[in-house]
Amino acid sequence: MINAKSANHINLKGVGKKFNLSPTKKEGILFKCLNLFSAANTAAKDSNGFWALKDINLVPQDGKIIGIIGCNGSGKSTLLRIMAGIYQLDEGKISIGGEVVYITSFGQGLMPKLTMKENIYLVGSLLNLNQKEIKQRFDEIVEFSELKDYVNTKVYKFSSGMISRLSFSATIYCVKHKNPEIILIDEALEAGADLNFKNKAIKKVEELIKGGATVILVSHELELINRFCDWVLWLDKGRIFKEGLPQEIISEYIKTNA
Amino acid sequence: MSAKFWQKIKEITNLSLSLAKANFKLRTEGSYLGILWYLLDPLLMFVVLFIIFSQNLGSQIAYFPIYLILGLIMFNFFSTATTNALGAITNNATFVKSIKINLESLVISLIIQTLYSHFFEIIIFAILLIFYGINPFYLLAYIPIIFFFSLMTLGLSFVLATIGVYTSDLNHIWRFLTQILFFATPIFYSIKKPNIIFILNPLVYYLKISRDLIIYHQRPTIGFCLIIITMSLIIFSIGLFVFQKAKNKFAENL
Repeated sequence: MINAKSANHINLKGVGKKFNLSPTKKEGILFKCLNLFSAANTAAKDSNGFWALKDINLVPQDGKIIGIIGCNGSGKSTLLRIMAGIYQLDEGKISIGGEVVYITSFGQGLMPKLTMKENIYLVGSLLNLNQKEIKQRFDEIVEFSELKDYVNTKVYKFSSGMISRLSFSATIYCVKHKNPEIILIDEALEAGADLNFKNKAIKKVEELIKGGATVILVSHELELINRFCDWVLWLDKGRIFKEGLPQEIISEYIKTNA
Repeated sequence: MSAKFWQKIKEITNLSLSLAKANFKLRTEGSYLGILWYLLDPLLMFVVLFIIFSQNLGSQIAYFPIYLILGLIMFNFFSTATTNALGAITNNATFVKSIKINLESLVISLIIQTLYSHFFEIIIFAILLIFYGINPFYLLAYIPIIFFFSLMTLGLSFVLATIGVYTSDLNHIWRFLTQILFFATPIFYSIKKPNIIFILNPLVYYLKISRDLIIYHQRPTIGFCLIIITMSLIIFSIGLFVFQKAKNKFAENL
């Protein structure tokens, strides 16, 4: 899967990300000051650091679909957030060329006290659309979410399934126009919606993926990974444990976790 | 640089306005009086202070009620904006962690929102001006003043929002500091001879120039205007610089 060309859209070399797990973080200034004088401080600093990602090399060929699987806490989302530019890396090199779209479920981020309509406008703005562009997509979003009757209902009255429908529909229609070169999908397809909607959503994502972008797909739905991906990375404790063709990696993954 | 730069400015403005709109709706949500609160808040505060102070302190100041309310609403703008800024990033943690957005917008939107409610307060103020027989035309001079005042407030808000990500202690400290500032600023009293506290308090300058122009129709010296402009630009630049330096680390610290 390593491509000889250097101008790939995604190019990760020895990427590492360290999180500070120090319990003192939220304990206030006083605690931090006291800690300064403690001899254990310097030693503690290193042991508290936790490498969420280490030595990640990933240079996918443009236009390929890469799946990432692994247990909770294996670093999947962290890796995507680094590629999306939300997190900064602590080690290694990364180069991202082209428009990136990061699709994740942020149902909790919706404003519960605003109506569905207001929330759609908010999400649209957050995804960098202006009022006119959102207006153009508004009907499609409502239509796709099948929540037409609740456009003026406040979101706190929604069930969790409805929220994930809304969040997914708004996101997917707001990013669709961008013709991104890179699409990062972080478990956006499995957040509590029913089977009918899930199938619809998968189809929608398929349309987006088939546009020729390089796609990184994080999912616990192994069947999806198998169906879409050209190559699969298995992350374990922040490292690439195995990589290869979907079928091989997935069957091994299932065996290990059985 | 320029095309990309302007594109970014446009994006930030768009998002700031949308966020301000959403927040504005949130504030009036579920309240019977809704938008009226924007007028009632400053009015009630004004009535209380007027009753307390007009007898003793106010008697030496010309047009004391006007003097008082202008100081009050300007201070109100400053304290509301900065207090809200403390949570600008932390209150939007989900978005910061899941979407790559221009984080400046989260702070700027709060200033816009505060400006909006400030506008209602200015309306009340204008009505009082007419009531006390002062030409409201001079209120036009307030436009450049509020511009630089907002710039200064925004600069400070950037710093507060940044610190707010790392510690919640600032919430308490800032509440205390604004309280001190309220008494250290000539809102319900006037100063004859500025001592060190007043020289160091930036609010004093904005209040003085506004009152001189709008109430007493006195033109400020060019030097005084330059002080205000320079101070605003410096505080804004420092704030923006701090925010730019720190913003890439926000997502992982929430």
